Amino acid sequence: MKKLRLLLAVILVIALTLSIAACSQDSKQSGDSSSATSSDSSSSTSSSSSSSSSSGKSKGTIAVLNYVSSAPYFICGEKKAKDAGAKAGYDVIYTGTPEVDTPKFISLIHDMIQKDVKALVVASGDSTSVAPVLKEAMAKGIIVVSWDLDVQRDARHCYAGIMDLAELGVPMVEEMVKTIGDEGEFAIITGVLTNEFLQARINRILEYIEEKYPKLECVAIEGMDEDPEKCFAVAQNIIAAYPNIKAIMSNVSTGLGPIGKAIEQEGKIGQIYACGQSTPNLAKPVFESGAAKSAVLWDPGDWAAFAVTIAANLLDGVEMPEGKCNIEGFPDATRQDDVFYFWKTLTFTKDNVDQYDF
Amino acid sequence: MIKLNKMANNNEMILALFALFLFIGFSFSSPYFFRLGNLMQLTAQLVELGLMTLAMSASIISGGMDLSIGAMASLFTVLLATFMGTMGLPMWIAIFITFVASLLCGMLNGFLCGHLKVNAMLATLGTQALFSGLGLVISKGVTIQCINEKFFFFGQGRIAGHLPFQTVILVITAVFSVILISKTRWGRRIYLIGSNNEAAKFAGINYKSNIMLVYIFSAIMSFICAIVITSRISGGRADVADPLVLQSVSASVFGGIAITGGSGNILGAMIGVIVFTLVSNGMNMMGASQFLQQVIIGSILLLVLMFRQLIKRQ
Repeated sequence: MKKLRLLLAVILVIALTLSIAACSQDSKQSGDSSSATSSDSSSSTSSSSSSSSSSGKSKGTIAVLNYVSSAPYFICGEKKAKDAGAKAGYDVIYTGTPEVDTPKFISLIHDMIQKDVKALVVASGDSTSVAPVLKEAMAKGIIVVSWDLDVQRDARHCYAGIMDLAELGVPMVEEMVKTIGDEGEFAIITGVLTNEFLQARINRILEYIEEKYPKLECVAIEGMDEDPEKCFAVAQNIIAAYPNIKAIMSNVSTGLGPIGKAIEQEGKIGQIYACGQSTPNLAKPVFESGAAKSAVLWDPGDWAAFAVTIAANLLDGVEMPEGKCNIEGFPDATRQDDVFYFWKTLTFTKDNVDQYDF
Repeated sequence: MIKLNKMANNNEMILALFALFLFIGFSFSSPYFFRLGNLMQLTAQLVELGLMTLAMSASIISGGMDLSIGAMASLFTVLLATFMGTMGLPMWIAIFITFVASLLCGMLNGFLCGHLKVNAMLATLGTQALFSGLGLVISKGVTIQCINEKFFFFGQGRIAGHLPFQTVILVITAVFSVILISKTRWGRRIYLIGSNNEAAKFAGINYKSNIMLVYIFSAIMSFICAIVITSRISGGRADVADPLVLQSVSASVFGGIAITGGSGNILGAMIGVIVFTLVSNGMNMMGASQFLQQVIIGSILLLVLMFRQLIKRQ
């Protein structure tokens, strides 16, 4: 009987040894060594392994850390981030906490500091929690670039963004005009009415319409409190309250789907359109039903690649002047103090939506 | 051979050997693991899960399960950040008021589970929603910043430039908890309540007051955890400690605490925390995927549970 116990203990130890050996193998294939290997996008979506430079010896490692690494939005950024790193001669570790877990995310950043990475490219769920650890990294000479959501200004060297997100309102209006024409009533459903970023975008939309399409009239601005079910109900109310309405615009990426569903349920396909922001996966069924013709967002892959490129440039001492700053691969990129934008949005339609998965 | 057999019967010894095995394995697998900086960092990473596991272990041993510890700790981070950051109260006053709040939260749980005899999981599921809601109302759903240089020492300070102060907090708290739960009369009572409540009654043990103390103990551990987190992130957020709840259940069970209550000990649970943290840190140092880490931790947990069950059946 006791022999059996010991036997089981041995089996347990062997099983774990094998696990560790497997992981060790994984790490050898990835970034711990400086030998060059090429990145494999198809197999690496859920891994944090790194790709090496395609041009010989790596100059070091850039860690891209996301606060929800299991989200398709972040998963789809991995290939382009690694490619951008390889192009600049750096290995890229693309990782994060599978779900929102701030203490673990901070520990992960600490671990990356201990791994002697040259740069941290961080998308954090909030701007302040990671500030102390990022300051610690900066004090150790590590370059810190924030992307997606910015962090506290004194906790990073720069922010790599897509554009002043209020300006995203302009392509949203243009896409709406392509769908319903340049006159008529429309409504906006936003995430949270108290959110200053979202409100700034609404103001930009109204300003742009007044200037360029004065015959368009925004009859209602409602909040969905980041709740798709509430968005559905709000859209239904708007359809009932404004019989002449031609479009309902979503100011957040999760609103187009519920708005489209409400249009479908109310039997208004072809009369009222959903428009504005959406991720491609949420937009697909709405395109199929005919409740929307297009949606605007950005490519998270381009964004991640841009952030990695900025980090690599800072490491290499590449000059990036104020104004138009000529960053390789991002011809429209601009710099204003410590904020970089690459000014590239993505418009999804029925024809191209299947090319994306997030 | 006899010694080996004795070791096989000693849960903590097996787990400690396993942790040692992992430590040696990771030291050889990654050049970054066995370095003073990382080892110190590793001890710091034990702290939050360690404190929450202490809170969870006590409630599981007593036959219940305090699911509100994450929400409580999050609420306390919000309170600490609000008192020090928004209201500008002196550090010790903020800590004292939050400590009193933790006692009240613990008493509420204790009252529901001990006096009203509401099922512990259901009661604490309810209070979890209550504490989370309070945290959200106070913080309005955003992170409240708390800049207080003195307070930062709890979660960011280093003794002699190396040893994280939070590690010292965990060691002191863990030693105190081991003694309290394994060596005192109250500790023995909660084991008896957890293993056989009826027998405990016949033995004249006051169920209400002892259970009340269990949940107050859990709340105090959550409070200490909140101090470390608030200091570490320089702020408070209404959901910051939520993910630690299930991890603390896993670490407790991994460490040998029976989910049905009445057996296991705190030392084993602490070794469980060490194993989980070692795996996480070691695999990060090796560059392994976060998703793979979950698979490995899950597999380790399953293997240990199977191993334990087989021994029991033998």
